[in-house]
Amino acid sequence: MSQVLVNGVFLGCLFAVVAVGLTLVYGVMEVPNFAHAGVIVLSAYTTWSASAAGLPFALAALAGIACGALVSVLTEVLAYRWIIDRPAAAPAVALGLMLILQNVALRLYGGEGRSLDTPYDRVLLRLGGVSLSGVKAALVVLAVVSLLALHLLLSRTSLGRAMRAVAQDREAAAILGIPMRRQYALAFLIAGVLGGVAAIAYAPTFQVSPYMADEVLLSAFVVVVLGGLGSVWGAVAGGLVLGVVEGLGSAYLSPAYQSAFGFLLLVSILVLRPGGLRSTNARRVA
Amino acid sequence: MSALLVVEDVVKRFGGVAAVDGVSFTLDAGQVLGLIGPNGSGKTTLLGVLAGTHDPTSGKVTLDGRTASGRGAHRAVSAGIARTFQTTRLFGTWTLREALRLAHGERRGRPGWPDEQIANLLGLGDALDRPGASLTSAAQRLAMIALALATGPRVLLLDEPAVGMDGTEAAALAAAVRRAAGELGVAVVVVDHNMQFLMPLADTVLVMAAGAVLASGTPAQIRSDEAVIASYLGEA
Ligand SMILES: Nc1ncnc2c1ncn2[C@@H]1O[C@H](COP(=O)(O)OP(=O)(O)OP(=O)(O)O)[C@@H](O)[C@H]1O
Ligand SMILES: [Mg+2]
Repeated sequence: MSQVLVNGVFLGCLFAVVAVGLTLVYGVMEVPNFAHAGVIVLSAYTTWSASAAGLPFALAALAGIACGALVSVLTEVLAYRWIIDRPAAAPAVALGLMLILQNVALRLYGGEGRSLDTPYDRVLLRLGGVSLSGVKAALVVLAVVSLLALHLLLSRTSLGRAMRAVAQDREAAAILGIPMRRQYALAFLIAGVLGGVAAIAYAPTFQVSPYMADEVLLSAFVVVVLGGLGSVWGAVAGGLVLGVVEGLGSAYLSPAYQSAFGFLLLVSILVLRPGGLRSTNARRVA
Repeated sequence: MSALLVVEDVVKRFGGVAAVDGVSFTLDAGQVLGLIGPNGSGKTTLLGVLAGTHDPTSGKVTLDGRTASGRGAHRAVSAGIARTFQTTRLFGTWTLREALRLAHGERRGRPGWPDEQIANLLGLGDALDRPGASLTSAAQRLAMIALALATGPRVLLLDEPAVGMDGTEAAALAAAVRRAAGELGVAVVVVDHNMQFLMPLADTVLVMAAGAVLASGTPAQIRSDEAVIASYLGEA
């Protein structure tokens, strides 16, 4: 039982990191950023190729995160920025960007799965009856550290407060003289960094491939809705809940339906609380 | 003494349509300009150009001799041009106090009132600590004005601030705008269709029709202007 919970928490941390990036972007720009999957893929490949070229793992990981940040900002500057007044176009543009980025990965690295080796591959932590692989432990640590850093940024800095203001209400933020474009780019930059962290953290347990992020992205969108669109802490809570539910479902019912449990949870929450777990009707990043 | 705000032959086209078609006027510190005209005559678009939201297709706006147009909305706020919007939808879960705090960075040493005083002036003293979304739409409109005032503007642009207000509320708003103009020397441009609100408030009135200036003058002159009556006031 506790082993199942630990696995659920591992999944939950992964979902949370991906979902927070999505919800931040949704909060400030109202874009369902499917391209985030492509950002994760390119981060993972960059880390893989840098490490295959002989770079120490830590440097390769940093290169992957930098790539994620860059690609994410580029999607905003080159695409989303131009459709800000046409929100109906956003889902189509987002899907198009996701396909483009996946195809870039396919062209650059081919379709076959690569495995990402890390220095902590073979570490196995044991605590009572529970065991946790080094890779999973590293993911949990990375998730906690990056989410705490984000929390400090949003609550303690003027850039972060401006970000929350934009998410609360774009017009009010405009009255206050907040430079909107800078905030949009910053949201995508943060999402890209989180995407890169997620990529490096979970690639070693799955595999690096152009489609590695598809399922995670779907689960993360479930989490975004669960947590209340635009809510960072909602996404963290939703991620953990979904991770544990999927973990329990696949352990006690059937692993084949792991993602289905997530959607079952989503539908039931939407029926009971249309605004998500932390339901208020307002959007927010906080 | 030259005027605080100088608007010179501003044109703004959307595609082929000139929403603003050659508007010029000047505004002194402490002066209130009423901007009226039929729906679609270009009032909001003109405010957008003044507030840096729209780049003018041609012409320019100067504040104290410095070009203020075409530099983006956030730079206009930094320079001292603040605006409110025709729509209301205010800070969902944030309180007015939290939102006001964000405005202070924009004040840059210009004179301004403390948050409590701004809120009290606009009758929002009780609303300071309530989430924006829980305020009535009239209060949200006032709260937008509070935010704009908190940035310490030299020019305040108000787009239909009195919509949905009854006579008493509108008169209180007019008094508040007067005080901002009188005590802080803020120059105000206020758009509204409510003549009972606007005419007593304005020092001068500018009437727009199809993007251009149809007439301008004192409220009394405008009230008796036959072209204005025919095109706008007659129907109102
Ligand atoms: N972003 C835009 N793109 C294209 N056309 C626009 C845009 N904004 C305004 N217009 C057009 O410009 C013209 C002037 O619109 P504007 O909103 O400035 O009028 P208004 O005087 O404020 O009207 P109202 O009294 O209804 O608020 C209208 O024909 C409108 O359709
Ligand atoms: Mg208008």
